Amino acid sequence: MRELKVLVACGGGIVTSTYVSSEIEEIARKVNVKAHVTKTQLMNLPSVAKDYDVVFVASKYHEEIGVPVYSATGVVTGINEDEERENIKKVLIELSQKQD
Amino acid sequence: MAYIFSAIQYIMDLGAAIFLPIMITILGLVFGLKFFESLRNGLRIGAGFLGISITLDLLIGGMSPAIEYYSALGEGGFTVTDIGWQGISAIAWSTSYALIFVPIALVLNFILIRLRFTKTMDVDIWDYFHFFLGSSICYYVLKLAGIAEVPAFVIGLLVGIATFIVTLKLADKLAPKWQEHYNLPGTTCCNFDAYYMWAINWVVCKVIDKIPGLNKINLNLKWLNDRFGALGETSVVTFIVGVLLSLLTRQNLTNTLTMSITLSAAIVIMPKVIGLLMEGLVPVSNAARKFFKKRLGDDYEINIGMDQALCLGDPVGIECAAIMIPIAIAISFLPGITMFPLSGLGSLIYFTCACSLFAKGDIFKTLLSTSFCIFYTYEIDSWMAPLITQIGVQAGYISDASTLISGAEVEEFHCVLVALLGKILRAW
Repeated sequence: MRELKVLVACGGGIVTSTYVSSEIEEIARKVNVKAHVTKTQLMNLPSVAKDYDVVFVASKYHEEIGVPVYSATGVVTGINEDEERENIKKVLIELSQKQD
Repeated sequence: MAYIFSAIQYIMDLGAAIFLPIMITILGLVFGLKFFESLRNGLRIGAGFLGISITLDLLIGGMSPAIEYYSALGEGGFTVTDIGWQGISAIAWSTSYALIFVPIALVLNFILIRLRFTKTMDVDIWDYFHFFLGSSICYYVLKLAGIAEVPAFVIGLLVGIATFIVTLKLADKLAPKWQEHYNLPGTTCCNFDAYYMWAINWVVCKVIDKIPGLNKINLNLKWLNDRFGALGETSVVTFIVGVLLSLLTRQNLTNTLTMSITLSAAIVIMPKVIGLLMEGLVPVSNAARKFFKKRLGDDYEINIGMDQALCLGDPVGIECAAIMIPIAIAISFLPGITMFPLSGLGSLIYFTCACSLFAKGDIFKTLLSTSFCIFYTYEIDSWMAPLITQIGVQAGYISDASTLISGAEVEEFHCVLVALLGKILRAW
């Protein structure tokens, strides 16, 4: 199984994206998906996203960047967090199966 | 009392890279984390600190040929290195206030919710630095004015706490509008800096609405982003800006290349080392959130106070961000501005996404509001540079006060107020 390349973006690629990436790393570990999570700034997305399998953003993001983008606001705010964790789990598993 | 202060003083004298790991380890234990997990978080924060001071050296070193050029010219020009909110936050986190403020604010917030004074639960611990940045500026201003250690420390703390309470109330007020415009139910924004942006944004939009002609301008920037979007990558932007600055300051080829590549490197490295700080804080922040949620129960209607980052998906804000880079550079040439925008350029999206709130999706209003915000920010950041440099030296990040530093966040209202107070007291 190839390692999944995950990109997480927030404003500065530092604070909120660290919340999100630590969640994603934990979920990936639980479902046995190898994932390498990288953090970046939102402004960099259009130019760097294509090197990744999937992008998670802390905000709501609607731009078309050629890679599946999911919002992960819930794991930061704690609102509907369980539902959102399930969703992230599903996305990670689906993507890793697609790669096999 | 005196005993407590001498204990604080002793811990502070150890330096941030030593006392913060200790503090975070203890805080983690308080919120129920295991010892080694807590220790790891603390040590990551220590790594972050040492990393930041190395990166700031790199950044200041990179800027030095340009600053030497302007200093030799005498009056005006760019003599201040922009260390951005990244650098400013790190300085704030390494003052002794970080140690005291976090537990006090958490408990105070909890009490204020129980008293139904506020509905905002601000457990975004990272962003507490906005409040105690004001505390530490106040402390240094009072010390420079000749006020004794203990009263200066206490007054500084009170300034931070007062700002925290004001922010909770502002966040209550903002909540409905924020939730609707950015589609973020159950949350609100506790970044104090966002509120001055919204204040300027509100005024600008009100004024434009009154001016015939201006209120009808309709812009579309989609074509621009399609063509130049990829240039928005931070490393490339900083490199180009470095070349521009080299040309402005008539550097030779060697200096031009060295400066542009060094600056670009510093800007790329900065988020990585500050990310270490953040990684150390995440578990504590999560534990605090769970801790308070459990103890509040379901009897209270609560909005979670969050970082402005959550609203950065705003389509208009994103559309406006790239074009603001050249506009921001142009603004920096206005009289009074001595800080060349560098670290701040990647953060323009915070301004544009905030300014789309009262612009209601109107691109022209968003751009104009953002420009006014940037102008205000650069003017104040330049003005406060000597003071911020002093604090940077005290915090141990820069070795001497010969090169001026400044950056976003110091223009927040409470910081400006204490700086003004300092001017009145002739402290700086």
